[in-house]
Amino acid sequence: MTDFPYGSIGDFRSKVLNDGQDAANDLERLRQYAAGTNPANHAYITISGSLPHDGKEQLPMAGPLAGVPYACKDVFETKSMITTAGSRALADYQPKTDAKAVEILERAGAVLIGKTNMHEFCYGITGKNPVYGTPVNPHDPSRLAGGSSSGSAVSVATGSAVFALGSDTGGSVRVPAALCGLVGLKPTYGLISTKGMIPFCWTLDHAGIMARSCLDTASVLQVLAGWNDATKGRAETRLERRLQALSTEFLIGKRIGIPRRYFFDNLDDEIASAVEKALLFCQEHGAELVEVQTPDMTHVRPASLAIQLVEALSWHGPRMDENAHLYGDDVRNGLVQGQFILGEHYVQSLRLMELKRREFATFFKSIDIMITPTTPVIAPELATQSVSPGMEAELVGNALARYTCVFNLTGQPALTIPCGLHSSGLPMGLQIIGKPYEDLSVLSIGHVLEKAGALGWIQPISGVPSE
Amino acid sequence: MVGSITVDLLERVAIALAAREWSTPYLAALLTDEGSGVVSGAQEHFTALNLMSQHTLGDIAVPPRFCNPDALDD
Repeated sequence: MTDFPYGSIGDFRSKVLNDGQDAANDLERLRQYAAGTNPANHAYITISGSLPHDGKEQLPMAGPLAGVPYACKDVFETKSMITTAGSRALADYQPKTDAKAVEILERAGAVLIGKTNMHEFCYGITGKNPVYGTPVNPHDPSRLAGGSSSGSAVSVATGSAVFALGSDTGGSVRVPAALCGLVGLKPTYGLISTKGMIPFCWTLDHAGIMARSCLDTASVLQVLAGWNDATKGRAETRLERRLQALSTEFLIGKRIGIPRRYFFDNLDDEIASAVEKALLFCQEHGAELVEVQTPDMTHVRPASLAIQLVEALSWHGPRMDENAHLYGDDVRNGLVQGQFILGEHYVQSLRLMELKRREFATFFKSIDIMITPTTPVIAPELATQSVSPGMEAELVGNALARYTCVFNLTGQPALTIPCGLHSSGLPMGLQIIGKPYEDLSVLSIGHVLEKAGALGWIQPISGVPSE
Repeated sequence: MVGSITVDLLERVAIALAAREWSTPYLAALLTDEGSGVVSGAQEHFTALNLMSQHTLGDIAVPPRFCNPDALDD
């Protein structure tokens, strides 16, 4: 089983089709692996007590994700397991139904390994969680995994799940994926249902996917977005075949926007070099690099936070009289801060969101995609409060979300892919942004770069179970 | 620029205007540099919001909701 935990969706599907009992045994071993590694890496809040492992009859045999093990951020409601949102306030909450995304995955045959740890109520980008333990970065346990979908990233990076569901309000899928060396997709707003997801901020919440390749991410997106798939029971989906057929020729004539100002400011030198190298690769293979004028980003982060804090307070406020003491300090303090944000601030933030949507739409008329670093820094140490990637120190939360949060305002698809290893041994991420509903273009570019080995290979981390 | 924010000021607003007595034990934390621990300190955040509010956005209205398929489910 040396390479089994790092199998692709296709590998698992093939195994189910070839020998259901063998696949069922593998799933059970993965479940045990998740349980065995959890005390050290804190990836999961709840691990499934049982899987369909008693024989071929019980294992899902049909569906595009038949027998594929996945993990799910504990913000998606599940009728088979409690849903805590990473909080003591919901420690015993047992939903009666599954979130829409979970329901769709189950129908497609995917097997839920467990509910993953997270920053409480999706509040922060660091993934710190004093109640359930802070998930640690698989590449260096003294470092953060990033958040808020921290456990989802750790589950996939350590191989206990092939893919994971996360949510992204300002970067909460892309940032942990980047810090842990994974692919992470925040699709176009609304493309994946958020129904049955405990809300943090309705206006900016996106459901997203983490996986170890763009190909696997595409397979999951195809299912979750409801794009029809007539290949039930086959070892690959139509979207996979379409991506697999792509080569670097796909880059010819592509116009890639590079927003130097802001998206390359106060950036770690090695991350900057890695992104430049990727851009050069694209240019050498026929893409046109277009220097674009970045819209004014001055008010983006405050506006994003204002929308988040006000909407979060709207959901949590009525629960606070009884439960305030059960909340973690940072979430509670954020909610307390939210009550002082004026209605005018909130409305102005929504209008600014619309301005950014229009500005990015305008300059995307002259480009196909945009490429930026995903984060300005590598995974910070666990106790880090502030970082200084360039000349200026800033709060770690602000720094990690600096390049990602604007695309929750615009609603565009944004993908992070691994971009090689830093000299510290930690992963770096590259972000590809596309036009609304052109998620497939973003995944196609990512897949071509990944397939060509243009960005450097990230070794799977240790801790892989063996027979 | 906003004037100095004090715990007393925040407490008056929290109780008299927002009726959120539960929040009063936690108000002092907003005035630290770290603020909520994730977002900027309150003073910095409110200064930024007030600057944003002075920004003229022309004819841009509050945007309609994005097309959200969930809204059609029920």
